Amino acid sequence: MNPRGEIPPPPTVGINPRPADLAGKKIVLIDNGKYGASNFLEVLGEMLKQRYPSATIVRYPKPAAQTITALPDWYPTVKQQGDLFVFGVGD
Amino acid sequence: MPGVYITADEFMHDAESASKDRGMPGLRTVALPAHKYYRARATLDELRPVVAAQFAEIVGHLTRPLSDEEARPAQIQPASQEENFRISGSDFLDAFEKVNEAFLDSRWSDALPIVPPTPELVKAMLAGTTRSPRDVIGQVAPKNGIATVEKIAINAVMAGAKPEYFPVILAAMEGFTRKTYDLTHVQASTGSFTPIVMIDGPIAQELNVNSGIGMLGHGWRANSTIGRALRLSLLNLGQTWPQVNDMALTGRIAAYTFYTFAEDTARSPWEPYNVSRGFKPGDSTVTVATSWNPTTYGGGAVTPWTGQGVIDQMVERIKSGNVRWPHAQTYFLVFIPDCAVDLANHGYTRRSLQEYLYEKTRVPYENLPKDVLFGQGSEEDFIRASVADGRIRPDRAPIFLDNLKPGGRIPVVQSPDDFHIVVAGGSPGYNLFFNYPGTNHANETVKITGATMTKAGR
Repeated sequence: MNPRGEIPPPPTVGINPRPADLAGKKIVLIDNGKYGASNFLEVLGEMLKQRYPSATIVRYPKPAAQTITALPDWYPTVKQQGDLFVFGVGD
Repeated sequence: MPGVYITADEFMHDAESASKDRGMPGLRTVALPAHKYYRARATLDELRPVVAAQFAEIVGHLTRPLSDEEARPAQIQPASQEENFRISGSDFLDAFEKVNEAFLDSRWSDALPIVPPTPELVKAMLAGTTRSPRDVIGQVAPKNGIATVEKIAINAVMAGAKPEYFPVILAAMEGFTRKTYDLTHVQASTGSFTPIVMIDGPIAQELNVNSGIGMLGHGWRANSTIGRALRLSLLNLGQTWPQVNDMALTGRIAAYTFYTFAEDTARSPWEPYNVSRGFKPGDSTVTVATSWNPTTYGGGAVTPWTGQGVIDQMVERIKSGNVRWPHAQTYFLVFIPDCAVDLANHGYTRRSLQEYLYEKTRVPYENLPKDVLFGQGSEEDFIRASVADGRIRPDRAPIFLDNLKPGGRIPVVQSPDDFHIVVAGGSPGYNLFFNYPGTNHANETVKITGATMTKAGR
């Protein structure tokens, strides 16, 4: 007999349309609350600002020490922070 | 909101798996070479070439127009699976080997030989409970597989469990799948956490669950196969696999059977653990908890000890870590009966011991770490945030807030109840110190019911 259980598939959603250019955009950099991702995004923010001087860089860390599933109220707040996001999960 | 997700290449399978599980298969992800990133992440200067190498890809993912599939992905259909199938061989041993190869190839086993789950054996397992095979016990993270009584029975057969163990296995699965138990973290985290499965009450003796010398070792069918049945159920119903979506970096020390043992209620000087958690005397329960690898205290057969000395060593160990995430810390402390009796003879009840540990491990405000593990401000900032968002419960919040000042003493856990005190082990023996610095709650006690083959647990 098969030991695996049925997995109800979640509703599928597409990803959002992209802008043609990052100039003038507000880019939200989200780290998962860990040093590596935080440092990576610090460097990425510098490079984005250098390449796109009119862009605005916003750091918006995920609250530390909480799993993704424990943050149903936090994720909706991300889109209030800017136009695009980069989410770094690197520990 | 358009975005891009960045991870290390060793985690790409995990990222793809998670994005499908959450219904967004088109999520754009950039993979950093792990062998470069993890060494470079400590300083910004070392990271610059790593970021530079991925910069164009990150910008491309943020600006490249969507394909039709990315914009409108097809609805994922339930995977069709063959519920019953036949595997045959030239003789019994050949067929047995083929079953084991097929199950491992399908990632349905733990790679040790399994008992082939034939309909006859599954039916025999189901006879151990009054529950219907179709009853749903819960959904198993991370993929939320539906854990029916029958599916758990199939895994219990594979593990070599006896039907009389089955109600214990079902109760443990109920604990693992409760919404309050952070199973995703336990199943998938790099932290390599291992479940504790502690059986309490008269059913433990009926099933001959070891609680003495060697209780975490081999040689007792109940300990070994109850634990393995849970191992296989979590693996198959949550559909995890190492290096895919179970990223436990070292694997787990007790990977095949978890830490499965019974409380020694007969030699304990205190009321059974489950009674301290609100169950009735005589109830049989199973407690599922989570821990990093345990450490031992007390001298075993070699070094003399005192109960007070043991708990004071534990206090020093806990205090040495200062306060880290008090909202989530739990300690699961297993005292050998001799040590528990010594403590009781010196006046400790379970409750007073919990309160002693709670008070003695409080850390002076001046010693609070100025950085927190994740670089998001000081520990004080973190505690205040935990109070504000409710991770520290409102009834416990005043104790933290009142002590966040010079001269204050900050608890390392939310309340004395977060020190779970259990009695088990040999004479002589070692006391076991389990700690879970988890992200969320991971400790559930469930009453065992529906047993048909034991006096207890009915």
